[in-house]
Amino acid sequence: MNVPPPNRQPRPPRASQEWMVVCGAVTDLAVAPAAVLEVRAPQPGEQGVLELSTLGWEPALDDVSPRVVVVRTAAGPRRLSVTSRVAVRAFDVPLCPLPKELGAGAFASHVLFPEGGRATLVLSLDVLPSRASP
Amino acid sequence: MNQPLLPVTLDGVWLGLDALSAKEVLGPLAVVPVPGAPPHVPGVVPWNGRAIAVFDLPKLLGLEASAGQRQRTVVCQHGPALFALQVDAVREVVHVDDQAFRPVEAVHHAFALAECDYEGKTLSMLDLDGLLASVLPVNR
Repeated sequence: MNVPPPNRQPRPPRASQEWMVVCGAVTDLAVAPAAVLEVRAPQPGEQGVLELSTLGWEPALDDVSPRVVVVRTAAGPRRLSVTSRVAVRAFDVPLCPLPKELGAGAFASHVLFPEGGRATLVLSLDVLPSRASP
Repeated sequence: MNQPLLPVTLDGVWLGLDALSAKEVLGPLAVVPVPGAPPHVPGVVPWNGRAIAVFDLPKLLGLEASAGQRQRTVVCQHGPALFALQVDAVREVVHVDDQAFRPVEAVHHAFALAECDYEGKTLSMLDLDGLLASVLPVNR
């Protein structure tokens, strides 16, 4: 049985998998590819899309290419609008749970700290608002 | 009896952290902001392969915060809570005799338990229990 030594908390598991990553100005955002149903260009006049920037996250501005990412959540598909590059990236770093001190309002569940790279927040899809703020 | 305190300074205000709650003192760390987090938690920092919350100490204490990066990060464990505080400087642990403490009079910030003299300045002992009770969701 694998018992951690006394006074030491177990290390988080590693995020040894590929993630769909949206590039941000300060932090990147990651979604498990299995939760991504579609990545496409926005349709003219498309409404009801959640703009991630309205939640307080800043997109990267060096590569502006608007995309709609459709993700699977417990409440059904959600359309997310992102204005920066979307790429699939592999990580092999600890998948760190966000501490409870951040409260229930945080829309990320975990954070990855790649060496020499930007910290990457793992989107908590089931707590995303169902529609964009007015 | 005496109280081991870790003196730290924040914009010229001297605070005494319970030294038994301080686990490690690190240099400046970039805080990873987490959208949707409460205003007193600007984000997280990596520590020992984990993410720990950073508390905005000036905001919690009701102090005017200066711009610029804090040069020291104190990782604290108080009860089950593991968190980081960013301060300007840290000094050696001092053991303050219980008789040396007096009621809060000279310091004007929240969560001051008592105060004492320290190298010609006033050092306020931080009430970590009170501070955590005000910020932790589980304690509300």
